[in-house]
Amino acid sequence: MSDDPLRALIDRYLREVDEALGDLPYSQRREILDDLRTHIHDALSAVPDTNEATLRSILDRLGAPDELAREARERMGMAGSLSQPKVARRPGIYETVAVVLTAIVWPIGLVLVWLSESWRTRDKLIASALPLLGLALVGLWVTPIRVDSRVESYELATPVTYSPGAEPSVAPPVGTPTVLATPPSHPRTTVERANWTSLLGIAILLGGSFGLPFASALYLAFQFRRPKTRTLHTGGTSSFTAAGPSPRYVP
Amino acid sequence: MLALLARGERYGFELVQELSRYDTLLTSEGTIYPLLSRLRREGLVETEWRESPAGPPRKFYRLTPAGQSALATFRQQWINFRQAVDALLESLEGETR
Repeated sequence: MSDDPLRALIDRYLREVDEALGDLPYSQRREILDDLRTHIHDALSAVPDTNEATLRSILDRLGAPDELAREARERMGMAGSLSQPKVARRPGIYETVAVVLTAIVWPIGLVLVWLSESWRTRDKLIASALPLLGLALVGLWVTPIRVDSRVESYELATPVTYSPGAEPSVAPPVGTPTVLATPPSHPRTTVERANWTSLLGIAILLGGSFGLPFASALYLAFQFRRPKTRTLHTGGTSSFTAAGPSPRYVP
Repeated sequence: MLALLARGERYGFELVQELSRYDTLLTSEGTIYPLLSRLRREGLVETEWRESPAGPPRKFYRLTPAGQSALATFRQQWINFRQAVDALLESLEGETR
């Protein structure tokens, strides 16, 4: 009978904690909320009489949602910082050169990036994948175009048969005005398609050889700052008290 | 926390109960969960789900070797710190007399 109001109270408490934890990653919030829910259940089953008053005192002891969230954020915010390089860095000449080279001659730039410790392995992988993807795209585009060009010239040659005066045997060069001059809509679409494919080709060639390396360099420039600005300098002292027992701890 | 876990594996609620015996250590009980989560992600503590005699399975926490060595370090630092403070207080006491 009294289960429902209790459940509602628990849900409201957890929702408030969740909201207060808003800026933490989903998986971390999920974990804290699951732990808290288990705790509440354990605590409830430890008391002989479960009613609203006992539940409230359990929630009280857990702590107010925003207080809980503040401590959680403090502790979670430094998560992983202990295992990362300790020094707070600014982009030095080396990193700048690496990023710029990645944009211009990415094979050299990426070697420098991989030799540096300023990026995480994950970011290095992503940054390397982008230009390689560009290379693969360009490669894929260039290879079949030789085969396709024959087919395309056939397609473009066909409209010539429609135009009455011209000799079909002497096919005009690709995309000449004679083709556009022919009245039926069919040839125009083939010409548009040809233009479209060549535009796409240019886009792929440019994007693959310059755009994606440039994107990779941008990504590196962006990723450089983020993990490093927050380091042990601020967290160091409190990380000790947070990880170890607080100073009043008696061994 | 690490010291408590050094005495054997525990689940969350047990840890809270033990910590609350040293009542000054725990302002709000809920804060041990973010702490445990962080210790786990730093590899100092590992977790295992176990069936409980009654109710849903429980998450048990246990020290990893890295956790044990971290505990040893903290303990040494704490002893050094306490000795330094004790020495300071004693010398001050000596002066006032």
